[in-house]
Amino acid sequence: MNLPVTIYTPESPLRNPLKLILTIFADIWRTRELIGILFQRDLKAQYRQTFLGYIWILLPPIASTAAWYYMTSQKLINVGSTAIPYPAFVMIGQIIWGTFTAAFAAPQAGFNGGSAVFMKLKVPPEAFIANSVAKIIFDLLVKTVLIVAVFAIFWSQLTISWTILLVPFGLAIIALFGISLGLFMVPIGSLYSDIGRIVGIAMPFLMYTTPVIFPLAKGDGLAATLMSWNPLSPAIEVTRSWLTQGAADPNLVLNFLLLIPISLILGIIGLVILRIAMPHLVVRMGM
Amino acid sequence: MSRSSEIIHPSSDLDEDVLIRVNNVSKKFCRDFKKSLWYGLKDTAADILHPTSSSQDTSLRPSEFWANQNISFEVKRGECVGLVGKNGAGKTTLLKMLNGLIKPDTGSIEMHGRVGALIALGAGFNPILTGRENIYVNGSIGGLHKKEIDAKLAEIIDFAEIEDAIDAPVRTYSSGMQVRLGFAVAVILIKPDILIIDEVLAVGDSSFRAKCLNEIQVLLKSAAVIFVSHNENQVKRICTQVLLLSKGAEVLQTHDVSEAFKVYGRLEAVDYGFESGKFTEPLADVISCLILPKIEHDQGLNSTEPINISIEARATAPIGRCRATLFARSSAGEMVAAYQATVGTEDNIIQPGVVFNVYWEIQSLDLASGNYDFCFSLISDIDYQIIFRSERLFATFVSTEAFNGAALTIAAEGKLNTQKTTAYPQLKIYPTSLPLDIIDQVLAVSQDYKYGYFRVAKAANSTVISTLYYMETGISGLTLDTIQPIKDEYWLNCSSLPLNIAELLDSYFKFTFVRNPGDRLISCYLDKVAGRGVKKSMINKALGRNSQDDVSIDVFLDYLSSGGLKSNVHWIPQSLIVQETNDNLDFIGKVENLSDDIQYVVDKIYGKALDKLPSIRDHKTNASEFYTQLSISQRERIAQLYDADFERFGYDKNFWVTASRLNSSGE
Repeated sequence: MNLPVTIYTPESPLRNPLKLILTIFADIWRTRELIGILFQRDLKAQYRQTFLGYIWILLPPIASTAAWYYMTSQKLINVGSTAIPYPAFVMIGQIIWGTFTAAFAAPQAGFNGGSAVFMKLKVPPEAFIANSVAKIIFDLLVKTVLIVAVFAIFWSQLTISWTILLVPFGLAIIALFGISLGLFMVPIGSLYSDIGRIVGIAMPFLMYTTPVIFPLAKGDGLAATLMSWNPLSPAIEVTRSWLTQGAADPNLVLNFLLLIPISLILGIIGLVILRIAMPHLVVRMGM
Repeated sequence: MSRSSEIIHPSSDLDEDVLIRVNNVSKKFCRDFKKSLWYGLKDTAADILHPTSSSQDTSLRPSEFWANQNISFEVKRGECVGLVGKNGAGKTTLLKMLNGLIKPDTGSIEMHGRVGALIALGAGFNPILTGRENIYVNGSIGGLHKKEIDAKLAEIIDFAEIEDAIDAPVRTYSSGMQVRLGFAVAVILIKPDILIIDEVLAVGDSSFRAKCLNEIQVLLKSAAVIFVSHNENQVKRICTQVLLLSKGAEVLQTHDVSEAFKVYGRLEAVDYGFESGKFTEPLADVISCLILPKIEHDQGLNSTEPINISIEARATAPIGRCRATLFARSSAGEMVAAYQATVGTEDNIIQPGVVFNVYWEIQSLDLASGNYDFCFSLISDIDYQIIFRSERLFATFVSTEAFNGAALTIAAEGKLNTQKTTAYPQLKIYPTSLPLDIIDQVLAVSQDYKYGYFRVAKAANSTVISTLYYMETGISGLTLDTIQPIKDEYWLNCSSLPLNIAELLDSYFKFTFVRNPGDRLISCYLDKVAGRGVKKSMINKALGRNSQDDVSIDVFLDYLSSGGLKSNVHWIPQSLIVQETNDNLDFIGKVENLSDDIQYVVDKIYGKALDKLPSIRDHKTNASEFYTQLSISQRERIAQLYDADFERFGYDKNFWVTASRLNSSGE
């Protein structure tokens, strides 16, 4: 009988890094059905106890847009001029930014969702993370309703060009970048909840240095410097331009595309680290 | 063999039947949570930064301890290992390593084939999802495709007996339902090569447990099983060997399940301070223990009624200010309840030689029905350390309602048989009118099931003992050679029982077995006189003959009728022995009706008949055959000699007529 043999030893799985990477991807492929089931179950479970259901996916960007529109229209704050009407600018910025934050949070959320199972069953953690990522895509699909609404309201001031076809691609890069960064956080974030708290505090600051609510700052000021160094600035700016204006600044596009190799490398490293950390994390889960 | 942490390749092992191979595995844990997190970070970092350095690290860092240490074993297909040990002995850690959830710090683990695991309650169920959805999730985690799960869904639901609840969220399930579903998924759905079952079968009703054990036995034909349980009967039923863990280390690995549990019990006893090992100098001798209301005949203690227990003890060493705690220990060996009392003394220190009292006024025991034994400890008022723990004070059946079953109560400390009786706290003994020689001769007492067994001469003792032994231990095939140690270990041996035990005996289920008097006389003659001849010289001497003269059956009958009838236990009429305890015997069984009558006894004391009796041996003497050669007058002489026996036990004087069961005067 040719039974598969699994051997567990104290050695670091990184002794054979290539094999480890292949194993991880093989596991993800192997558990694709599980990911599907988890995805379905989470979709069902997520809003099972709500009255409004999936409408809750739409409400946060609407509320946030409403708040910023109120503040700017009442001249409580001045964000400067935007290339497209401000509500459309904020709404679309929020949706793109939301994709990033959701992607960043997805690995830890997915991992936490699976922790009860990790303690008891041998299952690749990536399956739970992948499921969490799938939810981002679902949320985005729901949010297209908002984008359609924006176009319906401001159709005369927006440009629909072929570049709109690039938008999913742009969002995918942003999500990938978010996930890669998020993956890095899982091992340490699972041990120390400080990480989650720091992220919670830092995220709004990151948003204000990204052209989500404010247009890209110009000049030599601190805001402009921060925005120019922020890798998310070109991502948001370019994707929004593709969606609402057609062409985007070629320099920004180039910077944006640089995120692809960076994300892929970071992502794979993040997966590897998570795998190595996994048994150490499970030990602490029971405590 | 490659040394990466986790590799999968087709088995190329010659010894293909070994499915689990654990080699010198150790695992460190850290008690301090903050340190543990920090170590976790460091270990992860070390794995990343120094992947090639040998990490067989056997040194402990501060706050660390060995949760598992140097454990090695192999499990083949068809074998079931019972993993036994107290909470914290490292069982779950080992299971988690076997399942690859955590990795060992030393050694290696080889697992061949698909692993099904049921670690802890509701293993991996999502409480929000329905039972049906969870089946798909868990099946998928186990590597099954949707179609495979579809095919087995009905069987799983049926086995788990949750048809009605299958579409309800799992959070609405009782723990029993969760275990049922978890078991069905782990065993029926996954059909593993290796099944790992943590201590989950403690939950759920007994019929389901039986079903699970059956299912495991079926699976065992094609799989290796690791089974964690505290329940000796469960382990005995399905395990082929036991691995006993204590404080992370392997204490014992044996195929003798009873032995393992004996050692386990002893380990536990040491931990609870029962064994003298921990308290080399006992601080007190218990002089008496009085329980009110008295534990009555046929009744245990009522769990819901007030009970007063007082102990009189003599200090053998200075005892400081302390409080006394009475512990109830279940038959599974767990401390299940504690009752407090203050030690009745005015002085700060009880000096050696001073007699003191401890008095518990317990409103209600609040114990579930079952057998318990009780012991007490003295706990220092200053540092709350246990400074003394007694041996068993008494054991009794505790019932939540009036108890109507067979008498199952014992009021004695354990191991009365040992020579060390004086080392144990003494029991307050009640006076008896029973002559000591009779007791000495006829009594053996079971510790586990609380019955007295009157060993009437020539009454198939070995058969009865071996049956009762089987009932108590699950071990059959007892031979004459093995009876002696049993008398020492499992029975309160008569020879060292104190005098005043009548009341003690009253509370036992007492029975004896008798044999057709004619048959008994002839078989005694064939064995003791004509055969081995051990009684020949005694008879010849009494009749004034040469000691080595042959004794014919007629000479033997002459001897008996001339007054020798009462001179030896082997031919003294059994009615005379039984008469001494006339009012006390609960049942008199017949050797001719051995199977049924033993089942009756077993049913009385065990609560149910045994599925299968151990082989009941035939008597070696061929009395029946010999009888056919006797003349009518010889037969009549035998009948006359044992007239009372024939009458009392309802035997036909024509001998060898299988009589129906007879109950003694009690019924």
